[in-house]
Amino acid sequence: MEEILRVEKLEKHFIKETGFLKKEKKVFKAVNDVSFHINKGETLGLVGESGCGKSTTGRMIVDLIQPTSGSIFFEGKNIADRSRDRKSQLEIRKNIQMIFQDSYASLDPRLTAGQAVEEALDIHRIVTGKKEKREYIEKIFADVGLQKEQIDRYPHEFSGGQRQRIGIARAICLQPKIIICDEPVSALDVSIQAQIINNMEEIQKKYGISYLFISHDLSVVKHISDRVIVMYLGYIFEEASKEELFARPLHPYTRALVEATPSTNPDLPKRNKPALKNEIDTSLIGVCCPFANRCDSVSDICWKQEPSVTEAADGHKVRCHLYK
Amino acid sequence: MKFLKRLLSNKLAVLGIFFILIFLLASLFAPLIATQDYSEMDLYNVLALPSAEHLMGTDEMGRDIFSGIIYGARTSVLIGVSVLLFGGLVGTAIGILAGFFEGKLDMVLMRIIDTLMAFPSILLAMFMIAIIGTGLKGAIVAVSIATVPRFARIVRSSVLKTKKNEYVDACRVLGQSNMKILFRHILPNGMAPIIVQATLTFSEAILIISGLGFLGLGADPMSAEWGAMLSNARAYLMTKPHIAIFPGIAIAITVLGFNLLGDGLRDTLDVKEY
Repeated sequence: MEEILRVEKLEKHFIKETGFLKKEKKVFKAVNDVSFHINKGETLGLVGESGCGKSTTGRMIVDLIQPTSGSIFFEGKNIADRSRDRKSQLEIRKNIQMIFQDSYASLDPRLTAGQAVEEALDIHRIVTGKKEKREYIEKIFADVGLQKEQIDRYPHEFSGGQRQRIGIARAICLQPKIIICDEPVSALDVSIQAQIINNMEEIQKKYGISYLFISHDLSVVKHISDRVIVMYLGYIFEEASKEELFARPLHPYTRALVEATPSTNPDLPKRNKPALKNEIDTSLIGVCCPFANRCDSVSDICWKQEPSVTEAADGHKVRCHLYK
Repeated sequence: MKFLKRLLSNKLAVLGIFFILIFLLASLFAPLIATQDYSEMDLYNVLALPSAEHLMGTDEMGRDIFSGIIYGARTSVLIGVSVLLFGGLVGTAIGILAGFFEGKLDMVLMRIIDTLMAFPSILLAMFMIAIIGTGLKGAIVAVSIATVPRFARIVRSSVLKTKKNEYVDACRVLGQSNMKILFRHILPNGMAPIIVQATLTFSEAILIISGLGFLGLGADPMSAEWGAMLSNARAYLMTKPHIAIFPGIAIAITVLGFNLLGDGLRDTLDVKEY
């Protein structure tokens, strides 16, 4: 399969200057040694708890946040350092789009649904001419399941699900090659979630777009993804195909996550034991295994040394001392 | 439309609009409303009480006070508009630069603004007049400079706040240029506090310039300017108070009108700043 995006050793350290005259510097390592790739037309799920750096990773790919170090290759070209001319900058922008979690906040309340999409078209001059643009927007609206009568309505006149469809329309109207979906359905009702997810899958088939699907919801990721990566405190803990990951989770954290996913079968016995003990401890980042305090298979080495990534099976990578 | 309806349901704001309308009509149709030219002196009728001939009486030089107030409205519009144009625009520009680009530029600009802000505006205006010289022009320039800091602060905070909205990120991802993001998204959405500040600045400018006129630092005492008229009346405050009362009422009503409108706008636009 053809690779479209590759991320190598991506890191983001947020520096907070505190104290008198900002002399003290506190460094928070939000994303550490993150490497993965996305193939053409596939969906890569990225799961993790809130604060694990999954959104930061997505935002670095679309250049909303500047990475501290590391490379992002789009179609073989490194785009992590974006100090280049506006034309090639726009070319990258056109090909890497984003769908945001909060559909209301991500739309300007003063622009109609049609104007939001038109803005994108105007920036990249995808179509010109008033009539042509209108027709194009109608076509895109049909793709995302909106009526053409809704083009001239304002965001507040739509329901949450419909607003998210506007966000999707704005992203796909540029015909990008990859879309970063930052928790696109997390703010929606479960019934609406299914509709949006199905719609996104249709669009993916039609246009051959790749998705990086960021979510904290394992069941949603299980539904839409081809491959899944699991993140914890800025590290990728495990990467595998969807089937492999859910059938044979290797990392203790992934195991706990998979076990904790609520079952839709009410006849299954209820689990009583809490899935994970303790809380996230950010002070472990860069010291030892960041999961050591919560792990049920913890051993001495976990407290002494950071684990490295090992390929346990073909395409199944895991960052844990258990697999050496 | 919804906004206008809500504004008009605010009784105080309507009262403010009413006062402002009187003020604007007076300045617009001054030659038609005024009974005579303000510079015309009726030396037989010096310090006259209000009568049919002189609706609000005359001053110590026999000038018609009613006409003076009507023409004075023009001066006040000139003051308000020029202060908004100079001070408001400069302040807005500084606020945009500081709020949008942040970093060192913000730091430098805001420390300058802080320094200016440390002076009370009337003191700052007097200081400027000492440099520029007295007269209406000098007073307008001085008051304009004095209004810059507050405008800059309010615009900056509004830009900073609006910039954090996710639709700004969305525009960046689409590849929109900084300029377009600023003028198409951030400013229109952060306009509310700026509009409120503009109304309040208008009245404040009139008030400060009248104050400067009263102190003899503003408009030429011979001109139709409310503060200058008040200043002239000072000597006769005990014996002929009407000379001072009418310009005083004119100032009070105009300033009150703009302040009421400003408050009304703030409530209607639901602005938390200022």
